[in-house]
Amino acid sequence: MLTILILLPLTAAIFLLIAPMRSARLARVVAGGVMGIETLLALAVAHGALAAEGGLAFEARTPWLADLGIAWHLGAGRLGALLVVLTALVGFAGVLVARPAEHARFHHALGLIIAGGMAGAFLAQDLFFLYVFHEFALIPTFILIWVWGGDRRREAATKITLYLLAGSLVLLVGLLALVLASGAQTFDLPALRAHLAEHPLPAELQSLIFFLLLVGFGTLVSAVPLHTWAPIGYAEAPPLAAILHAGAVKKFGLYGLALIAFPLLPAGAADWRGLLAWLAAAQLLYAGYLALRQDDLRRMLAWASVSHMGFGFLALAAGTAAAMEGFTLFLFAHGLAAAAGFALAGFCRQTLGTSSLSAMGGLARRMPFAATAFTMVALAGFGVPGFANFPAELMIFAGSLGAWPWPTVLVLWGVVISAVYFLRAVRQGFLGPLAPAMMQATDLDWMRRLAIALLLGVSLAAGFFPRAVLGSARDAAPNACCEHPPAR
Amino acid sequence: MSHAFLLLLPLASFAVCGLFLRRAHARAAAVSTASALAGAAWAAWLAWTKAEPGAGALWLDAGGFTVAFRMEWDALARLMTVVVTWVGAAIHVYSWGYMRGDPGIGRFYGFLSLFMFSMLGIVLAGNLVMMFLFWELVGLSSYLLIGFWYERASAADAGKKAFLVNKLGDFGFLLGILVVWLALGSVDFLDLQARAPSFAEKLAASPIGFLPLGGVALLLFCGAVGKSAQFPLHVWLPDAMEGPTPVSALIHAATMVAAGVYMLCRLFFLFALSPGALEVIAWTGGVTALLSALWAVAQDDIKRILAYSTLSQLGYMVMAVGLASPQAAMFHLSTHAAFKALLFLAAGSVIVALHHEQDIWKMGGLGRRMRWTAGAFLVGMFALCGVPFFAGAASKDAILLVALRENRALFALGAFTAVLTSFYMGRLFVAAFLGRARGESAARAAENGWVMRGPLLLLAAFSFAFAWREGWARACLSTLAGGAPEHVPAAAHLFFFALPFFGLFGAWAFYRGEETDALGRWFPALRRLLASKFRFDELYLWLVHGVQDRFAALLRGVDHWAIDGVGVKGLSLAALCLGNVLRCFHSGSLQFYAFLLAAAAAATLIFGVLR
Repeated sequence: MLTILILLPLTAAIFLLIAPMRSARLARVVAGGVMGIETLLALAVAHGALAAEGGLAFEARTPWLADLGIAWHLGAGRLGALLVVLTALVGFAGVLVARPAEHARFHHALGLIIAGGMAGAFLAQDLFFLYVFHEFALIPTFILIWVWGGDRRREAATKITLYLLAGSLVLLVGLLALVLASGAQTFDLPALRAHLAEHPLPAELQSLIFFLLLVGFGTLVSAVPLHTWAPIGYAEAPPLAAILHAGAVKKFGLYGLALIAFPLLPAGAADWRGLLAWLAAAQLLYAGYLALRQDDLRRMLAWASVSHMGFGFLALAAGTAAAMEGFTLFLFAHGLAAAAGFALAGFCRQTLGTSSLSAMGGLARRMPFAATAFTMVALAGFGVPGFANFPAELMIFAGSLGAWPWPTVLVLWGVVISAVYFLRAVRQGFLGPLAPAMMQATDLDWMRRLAIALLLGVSLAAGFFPRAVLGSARDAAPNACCEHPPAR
Repeated sequence: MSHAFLLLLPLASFAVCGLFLRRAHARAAAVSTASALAGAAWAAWLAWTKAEPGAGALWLDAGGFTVAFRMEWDALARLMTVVVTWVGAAIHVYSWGYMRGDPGIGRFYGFLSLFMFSMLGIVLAGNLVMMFLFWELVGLSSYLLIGFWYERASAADAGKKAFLVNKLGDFGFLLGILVVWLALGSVDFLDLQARAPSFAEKLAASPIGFLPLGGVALLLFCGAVGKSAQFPLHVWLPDAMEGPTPVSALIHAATMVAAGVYMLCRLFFLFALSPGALEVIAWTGGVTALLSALWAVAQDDIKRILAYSTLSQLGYMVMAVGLASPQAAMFHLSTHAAFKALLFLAAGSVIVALHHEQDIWKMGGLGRRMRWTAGAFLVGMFALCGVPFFAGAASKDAILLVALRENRALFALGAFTAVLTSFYMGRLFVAAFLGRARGESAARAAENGWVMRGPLLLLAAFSFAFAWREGWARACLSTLAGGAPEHVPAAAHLFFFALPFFGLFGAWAFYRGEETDALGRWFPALRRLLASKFRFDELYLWLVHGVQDRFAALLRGVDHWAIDGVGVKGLSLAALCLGNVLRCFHSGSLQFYAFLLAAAAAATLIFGVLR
């Protein structure tokens, strides 16, 4: 069952690559259909995962390289299943929004590869496949940005790929060190977890490996100061790439930390939690103030996306049950809002020819749907109730204030800063008198409306009924959050 | 379950208006107004029968952080709900007359319904998190309604300013809520009331024990400072007058800004634990009252004068809470809701009749041309100034009496502010309604239709004291902790009447027959000082542009030059340099390779011999 979730987009991608079709519309229909089916399947899997209450749903295991201990082991935990749903939703929206100028079928094929790869990364229970599937996203992102990106696409593509590659290599070293040092002779995650619970590694070694994992995953999730690939990367990326990356791919870093680093290396984690908490504060504030400086809407959204990863770090640093519940919901909520934001920004760039906020102005008159949608993205961005971000952030704060009071206060201030730059963007871009250059602006077409309405609608539903997304499991499920002792 | 209708009706109205009726003006108005009227009737019924609400539905449950959607229906909630729903319904009706012809009516009524939903949510909230949730939504509704005419730059800016200043207050409020949860383990009001006596010890034992009790109280107070526009977060309220007048009446006079006071009364059992915090609260209220009254004297826009007046009255309410008399505060809140809404609606009536002229020095003689409006305004004004037999006297005198007993300095402040209040209101009345018409539109003004006159009359009825004397509102108040606001003896009323008497008489004497602001002619420096509002707006602008933006620019420099420049680009430069150096070894020349080989062999030999 889970194998279908992974192979469906990959197979469709291969089909699109080799089939001799010229019609862009057909490519979009194929990709859209596949992602639509993927979304429905992912929802079914998520339902099963929530029902499993802490265990893995739809588990499947086939040994592969027995001497190395690598097996094709898939399983849907709560967090993983939610992220697969997110990937599918975001991928579907991305297909609806994408308007490649040429070579449409390659464009969509690359998007499908990314989506399939991420599904594999979130469902894999074997470290080898977890890593490999994540790497599936690297080269397609490069190609997407290089061919279909903005004005500085060459620079952006090179930077993002090399940077993320470097981070991935550090991560690989860390993962290999973990596997080799544990002596369990297996890459299987549940087996490693059980083994290391009984035979934990020495504390200094744990600390070192944890640091490697932190740097590796941190680069992937744009932790300050390893974040400079994100602003230019997202700003120059075509909408499909930006949506998939900001919506789904980036979540992998936080997912990995929660699933691998913290549970398997508790003593090591204890050494680095303080750093992580203050890093969270720095992330929110530093990237937040930088978002204030941006004139380009896509850059501002990129910085906002970087900034909000700080919530994930804070939750991980605290590790309490409340914080981890918030963490789970937050990854889901943020992905939806970021995707909707980049979809709108990409649309502005394509129809208006610019995404510069000072050039835009008063667009609400000509583009009421876009204005309403962007206002909603802004509201979700700084955690206004109604959207899923509010309960998520609230739970993170509740869980973290006791463990790390001052970083939490600073992160809360970061929320105020988010309000400043988001409201400023709404004011500059959409409110006020219509800028003369924008007289010919037109509103979104039905496909883009559907995509954005879907993303925001799901966020609203999750915001009204967070327990529908999180399930009613009271205990901290080992698969969805970490089991390190809370500080309080 | 029946109480949930109070919330579900306006929410449904918002959804229907927003999704389907944006262009169907009459139908949107009908849906929204019907939901408001039904809500008002239902609230009155529920309050009369004192029906018990059901147990709440669980919303969040994570590691001890439990939030349920439970509704409160005690005396405080009953009183506030009736105030909010009735004033709200009157304004829904009034808006149909005021907003006629506006292309965005559908959107307007949708936002009004959203506001009613959010405001009632605050009133009915059974726990701190629920209250905070709706608190934020009320801020959102305010943003949407202030910036309703979004194509106007000043309106869009005012909406943003209101939301951001509120967010500042909410920063402290949320911190306070989380600290309370950490210390007492619950956010539900009933639980908190039961556990409050041990608050101090539990707080000291919690991870944030370094925070004193007063600190927590003041953090919670931040929310009220923001929402109720107390000094120093008062700057958003005058700008909020950019919104349509019904919005100013409903949100920025009667209900939303009163939410801060409501929260203070709801949580009074926590504030009462810290006399230091109460002192700060009382002085904040007093200072706000005085400063805004001073600034109102130099304002010429009819809505701005009323806005500063609202600020001032909110200051009185907050001061009453600080003087440990939440009953007096709630009493004044209720009467204020009636007469301030009345004043704003009457002002709106004037504005519409004069084709959106808002400068009082371009009005004049309206008392003769718009009798109903002038009468209503006069009633509201007397209520505001504290003239005996009007509602405001009962509530304001109760506050002054408490101040006289508890804190002489604040009493003096309150008394002086009362004189100022009557002075600037008298100035407004004399300039707008008496004398000769001073502008084109004033000369041709005519009374508005009954859609706008009806609500005026309803609210005027509630501005008389008899409505409150043995009324049901006092009964509600008497069940609040501490009992009803104490009965003010008639002698005290007479004594306090001296204050508005002097103010009104002084205004009449000074401004009678004037064509322009006489203060500007007699004391120009004073007028300039007051009109500058002590430059707080400029201070905030400097903080935003001078400090915040400069800091952001500094960080951008760090990012561009240090992290990206030295770090990333530096690394790539190092890689390039290394490659260039290594390239030298690949010259392609055989002689060079032979030389290298020989050199390496010689070096190895020498090295081996030396070892």
